[in-house]
Amino acid sequence: MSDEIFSMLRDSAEDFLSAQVHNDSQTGRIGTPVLRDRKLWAAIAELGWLGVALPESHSGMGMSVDAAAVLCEVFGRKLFAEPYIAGALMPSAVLAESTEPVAFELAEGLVCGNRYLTLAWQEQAGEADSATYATRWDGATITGRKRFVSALEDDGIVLVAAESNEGTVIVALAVEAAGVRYQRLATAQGHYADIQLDGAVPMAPPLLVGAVADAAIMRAVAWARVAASAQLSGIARGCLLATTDYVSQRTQFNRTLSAFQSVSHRCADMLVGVELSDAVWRFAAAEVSVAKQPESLACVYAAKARSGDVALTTGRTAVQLHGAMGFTEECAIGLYLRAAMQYSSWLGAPAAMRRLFLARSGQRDLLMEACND
Amino acid sequence: MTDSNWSSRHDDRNQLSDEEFRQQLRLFLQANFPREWRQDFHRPFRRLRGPEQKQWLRILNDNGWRAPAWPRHFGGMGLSFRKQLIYHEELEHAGVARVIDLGDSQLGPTLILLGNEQQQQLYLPKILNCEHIWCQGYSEPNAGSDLASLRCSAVLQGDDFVVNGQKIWTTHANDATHIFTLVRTGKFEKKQQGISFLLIDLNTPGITIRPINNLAGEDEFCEVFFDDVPVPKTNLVGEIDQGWRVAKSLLGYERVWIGSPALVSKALELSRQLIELRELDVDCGARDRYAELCADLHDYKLLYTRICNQISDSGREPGPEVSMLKLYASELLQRVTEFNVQAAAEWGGVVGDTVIGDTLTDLHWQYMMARPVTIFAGANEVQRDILAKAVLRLPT
Repeated sequence: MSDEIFSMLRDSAEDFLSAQVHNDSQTGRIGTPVLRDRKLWAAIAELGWLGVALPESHSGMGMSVDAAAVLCEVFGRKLFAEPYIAGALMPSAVLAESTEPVAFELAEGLVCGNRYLTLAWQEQAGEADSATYATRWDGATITGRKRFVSALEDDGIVLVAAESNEGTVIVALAVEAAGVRYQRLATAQGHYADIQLDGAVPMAPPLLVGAVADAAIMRAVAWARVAASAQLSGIARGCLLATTDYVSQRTQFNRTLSAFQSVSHRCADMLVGVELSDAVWRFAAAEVSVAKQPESLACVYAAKARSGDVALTTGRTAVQLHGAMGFTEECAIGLYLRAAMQYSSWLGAPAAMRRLFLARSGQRDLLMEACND
Repeated sequence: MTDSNWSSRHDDRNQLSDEEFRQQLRLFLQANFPREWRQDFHRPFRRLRGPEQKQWLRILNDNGWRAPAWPRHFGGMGLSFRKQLIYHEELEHAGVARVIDLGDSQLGPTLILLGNEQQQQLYLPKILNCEHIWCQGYSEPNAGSDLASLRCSAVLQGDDFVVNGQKIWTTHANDATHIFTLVRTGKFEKKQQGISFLLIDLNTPGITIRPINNLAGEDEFCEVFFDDVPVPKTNLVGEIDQGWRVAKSLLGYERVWIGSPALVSKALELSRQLIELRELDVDCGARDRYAELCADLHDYKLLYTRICNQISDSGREPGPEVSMLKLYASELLQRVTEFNVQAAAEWGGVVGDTVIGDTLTDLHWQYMMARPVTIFAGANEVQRDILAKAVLRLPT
């Protein structure tokens, strides 16, 4: 993918988000699960962003995850709250692999912004890389429990991974269907839904069956990790910029705060973190977009670990450097920290990611071997 | 330089593809670098000095692998910045011991940029063949990170400057034949003015060199005292009182090379070895800390490569952002060497050589040798100041 296309995407995202995103819309809703802002969702559909990672055969732009990640970096910087990764990128990785008629129909709805999709694969906390499911598909109905599902709309469609006699299947299920119950927990910019499925009947036969279904989930998760890394890196950079602005203007003891080394040196450390994070997600995005098995790449885990750590550290330091104002809801700096909490915990927290990084970077995992003996 | 024999002695390796270049150098190092001088678990940051250093540099010179950054018509390799990076990567890959070769890395480029033809003809060939070994006389007891406060003076009397004062932290002055110095030649409002760049033969009467032992027990650096030392005025490089600019032009490159991930890689190989020797694989805490250090190195290599590529692609001098490299690489090196001492448990308290399992190590040495890296070439506090002022543009 050429740098020129990337800069066009980045510029258009910056222009659009600068005009459309207002941080005040995020105040006053701490602890409240948030759904899509349908006007904004339709607007980004209009811009073509929802179909970036879908092939042209599926109504998409035929680009790859590296293009989506470029957008996500800007989303992070601008605190754009729409669930792009969960609601567009991850479903794209699944739909792109399916040639069932319903897959083309859903892809078109996803790209147009009038079908609200999400992917439900996870069943336990911290099991980011398990490919087995307790949720069962019996050939006609689906039963089980899915957790930590983002971007679930009441009138949406959830792509559910389940076990069957032929291995893993992925089925498309209307959230309104009988046998579907759910509860949402609030995150910074959205929610985690806990979904109970009790003999629910999907819209159509499975989209994918067997090894190709497993591969699609693995790819969706790897894509999402890289995109989330980009978004976290953007969150950290936006937070750093807001903080350097603030400490350059605020005066105490007759000096700008930035004249104190205790302040400026912390800004320098934040900068180093942000640049490390930026270097690793960009590398991972380029690697993942050409890899057949992106889940085997160590750099994906390194990117998710680094960007999560850096966004959290930057967010906390920024709150501190804003002083008492930083602790108020009306000061936007806390939004960065809360967004960092969401995206660093989702899809694998830093410590877990580093263990997988080590395992994937060609070093024998002696701990795992010892545990298995 | 007009010596055509000299310049055409070796092939222009800059014409090779990056991969061919890498292969040629790799084969050369396999065949020519003495095995006993390789970096190992005992000396992960091994440095050559004295006669060994001369011997190795002459092997490089005789085979056309010396002075990678110098233009070819001055006897160097004339490598692009990208090939210089490959050059350093391959030396690291082969475990080649480091050398402090300031004639190559500092003085040569300075003379090429700002020296006159006589100085270039007199000094450059002797740097290449190691007839002259140079050390750097910048720091003084009261001018360390605040280098521009230096006071060692040079007063012009007839055809000579007369030098009086003291330099300190002069690395390997006791191995050197010459010293390039920054000396005070005038007093101006800005202390960066009135500094001149002067070349001094260490055999001149009036010079006293006193080695200082470092925390690792080596006589790595020295104090150098100048007592009415006459220096021919032809040894002035560049304009009088304008030496600050001469010295500063090289600081960016110095930070890039100090920022190389090479030392961290070596220290982390020792970590892996210690984990196996001490059977720490089943210790989740040790494993997680090790995983963190590995991820730090992985990510840092990507940042290092990116910044180096930007310098290479732009063709510009390194900017203030290279302070990030010096800062992060030096602090990561300390964290890895600290891990190694902790991973070794009681062995970590041994000062000197010790054998763990079948592996000869010296954990105290690697721990102490990682200390000065955050201090020299601009203490890390200064690097943070640079990042805050020149990259983040924070008002002071």
